[in-house]
Amino acid sequence: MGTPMPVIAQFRGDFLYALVLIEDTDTIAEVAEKSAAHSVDRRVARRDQPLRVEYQGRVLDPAKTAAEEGVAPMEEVVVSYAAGERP
Amino acid sequence: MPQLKREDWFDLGRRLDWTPKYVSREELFPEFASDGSNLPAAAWEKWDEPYKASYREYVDTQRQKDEGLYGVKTAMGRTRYIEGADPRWRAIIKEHYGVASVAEYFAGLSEAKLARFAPSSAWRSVATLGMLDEIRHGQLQLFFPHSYVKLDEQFDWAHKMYHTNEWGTIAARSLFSDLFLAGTAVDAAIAETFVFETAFTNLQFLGMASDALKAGDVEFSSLLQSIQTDEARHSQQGAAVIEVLLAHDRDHAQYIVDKSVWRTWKVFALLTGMGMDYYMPLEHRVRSFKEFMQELVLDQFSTYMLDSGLSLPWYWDQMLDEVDNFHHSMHLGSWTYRPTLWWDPAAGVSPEERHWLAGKYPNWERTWGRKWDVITENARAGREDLTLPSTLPVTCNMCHLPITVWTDDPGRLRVVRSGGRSYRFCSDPCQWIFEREPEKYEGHLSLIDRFVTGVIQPPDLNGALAYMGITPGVAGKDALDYAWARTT
Repeated sequence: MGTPMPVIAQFRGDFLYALVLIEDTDTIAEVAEKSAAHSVDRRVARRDQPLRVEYQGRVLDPAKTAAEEGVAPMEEVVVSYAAGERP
Repeated sequence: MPQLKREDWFDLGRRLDWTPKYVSREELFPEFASDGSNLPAAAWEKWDEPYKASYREYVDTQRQKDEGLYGVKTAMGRTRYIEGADPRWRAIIKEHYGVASVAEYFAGLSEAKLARFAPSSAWRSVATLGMLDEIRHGQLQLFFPHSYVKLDEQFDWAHKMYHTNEWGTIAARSLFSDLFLAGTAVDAAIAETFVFETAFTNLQFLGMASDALKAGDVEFSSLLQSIQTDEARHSQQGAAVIEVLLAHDRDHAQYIVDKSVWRTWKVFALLTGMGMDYYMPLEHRVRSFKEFMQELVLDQFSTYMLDSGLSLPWYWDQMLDEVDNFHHSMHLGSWTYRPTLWWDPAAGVSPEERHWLAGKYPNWERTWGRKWDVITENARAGREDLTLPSTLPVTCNMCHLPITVWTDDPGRLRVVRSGGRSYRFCSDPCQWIFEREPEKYEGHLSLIDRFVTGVIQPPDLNGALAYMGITPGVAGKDALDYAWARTT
């Protein structure tokens, strides 16, 4: 059980910045899923593609945790489908 | 006894400045309340406005206006128009009454400040009438919807809204507190009368009045037009202030105009933009919100600014981009967060309505239509749960509206770090306003600040609804119960 912390998630193709509660022990893949849950199937069509998380200009490793990648509370994560095609 | 001609006595009656003996002029008109530029008294002697109404003339005219308007109210009450009105039209007037009615008292307080602290006696005379105007507007817009409360609890928010922490309320209260109440008399006159009343109220009080007539709501149309006749008179204060200030402190005049145009735009995009382009039944639409903005603000008011000796605000290109997009984002957001509204918003995206939107906004399908495609599929499939909010959106620390994007590749979130915390902004102008006067804005918590610092309990959506004062009987629902999604 990690420490809960809110982050600000912007899912490419959606129009809001969502307040998303994650834990610092969540993997980046889990952070991506938690963020996508507020956009995909709601205003963004689901795609059969992996998700990608960007933080302060770099793409994060999906296998590492939020703490390992240095994600801080109330900072912005940008989540998108990994394929190069724009939504 | 022969009477003096009007022009022989009028100035005697309104130019009442004298040289104080028992207090200094600085004590009588302190800089923080009167004029931050601290211009000499002689500079303000040139202040003048074109209407030149005396108190006696004013009372006579206002009495006639009220007789006519209350007569319309009585006659329309007999027709019971509102009971059979389209639910989409009812959404428009509920939103209007909530935002406008008590806001008139903000304006009345502002005019009262001018009536006391304006540095010219002629100006103080006009402001006294302006104060009475605003009290009239507040009373009218509380009295008119009051008769509907017994039919529909949502109309109670005409009075209640500003007494809650509903998210739109936080935004509107911040705007009016900043522009109308927190500054000097000079700043308030520029913000309220030159910008707010000259540029923007026309959108709602002329544009929406014409829509009201098309919708058959003679009462609402008459109300808006009657109010606008007052606005046209007392809004003349602002141009007169600009004229004096430009000769002595141009930069300050330009700053107050730039700040006020941007902050006011944000609220009118919600108040007028959503109603005109989404709620208004298609057959009654006069023009799009963008077309009204184009005529009344982007053309007429920009010309007025330039003719007054001002420059266009530095962010004008960003304003043009917002006029194409911002109110669409606010509509999608507020419809999604409809349980936080005191009206039942119309989605306004049936196939015919989408065709109309695409005709008025060429990028609408690309930017907004594909999001509504997903929502429409969910509504058709009975998955209302997926159309409702699942978390809170992050709001701007200046305009206090949700931060939204309409490009595929938005830049990084605008953040200012100061005093051990972060402030987030929806746009360059909102950030710029904050950075010009940080001491004024730093202490004000956005809805999200209140959520993450534990002010809102329990820290979930239900806790947020309770914090906003939204009760189950009021919480907004889709105006047409998703009928728009079932048409093909």
